[in-house]
Amino acid sequence: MDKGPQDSEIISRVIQGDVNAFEFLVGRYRALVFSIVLKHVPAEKAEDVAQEAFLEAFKSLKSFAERSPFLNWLAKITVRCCYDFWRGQRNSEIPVSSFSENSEEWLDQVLVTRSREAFEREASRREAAEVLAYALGKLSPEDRMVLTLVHLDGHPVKETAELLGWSVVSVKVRAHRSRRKLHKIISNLLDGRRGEA
Amino acid sequence: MNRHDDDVRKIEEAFIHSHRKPVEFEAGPFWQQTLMARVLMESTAEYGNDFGYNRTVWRAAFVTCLLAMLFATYVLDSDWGAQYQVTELFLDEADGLDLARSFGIL
Repeated sequence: MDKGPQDSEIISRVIQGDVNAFEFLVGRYRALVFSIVLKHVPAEKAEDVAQEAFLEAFKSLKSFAERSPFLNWLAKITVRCCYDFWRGQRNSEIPVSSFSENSEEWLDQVLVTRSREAFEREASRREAAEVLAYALGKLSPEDRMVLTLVHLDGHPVKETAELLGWSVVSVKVRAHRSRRKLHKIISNLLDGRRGEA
Repeated sequence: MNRHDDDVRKIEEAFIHSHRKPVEFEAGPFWQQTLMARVLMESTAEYGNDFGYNRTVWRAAFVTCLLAMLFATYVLDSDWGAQYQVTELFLDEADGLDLARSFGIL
């Protein structure tokens, strides 16, 4: 089965001036870029950030050294575009008052689940994403990115450091601190619920 | 580990599960078209390829400077004295002769 031209061949053509050939790469890696973007930015901003990632890849194509697969290089660019997105957001905090009633009740529901099935069902609800967005909104862009990549996505620290272009030590320290901050945020939410009860 | 810590960990685990759930998303029908239009504009900006205008202007400027330098070198090296050429313009008039003398040319 013909898989089409190789990445290196397409890149070479683009660098030599065949700009339209870049569309091959867009078509091939569009799903990957969106899968990364959707894990880091709100869905309504995903199209913009995904475009920025490809545009940045196009501008930097001459510096792609082919030491690692194009896919890995593009993933790094995409993660950094997500980070840039949050750095550009002046106020990403979501007030607790904007929680829907279901989101507040979700916190209680999760805690009383007894079976794995019931737990997963609760964790899959839209309200879970809403409360998570609230918690992440209380973190700095740096803490947010590291927490999402290391704890939520499950990337190893070394891989996260490579994706972000930061040192391993810096990521390790920030991963630990951001997780403590997340626990504090969750704790405050639960205390708030108990205070109302 | 107390009850409160257990609750915090349970919420955290729920967050992880929620985050890893695949998101269904479909980009708009013109997303790729818009992107390629931006890529094309970017390539135009990078190479200054407004019908080659910017590149032509810079090349013309370079050639002009080169010609100016060559001409200046020729003038300095040769015996050609501009003051004599200018004087010739005046010499068919009596006033022109006085002028040439006052400048020390004749």
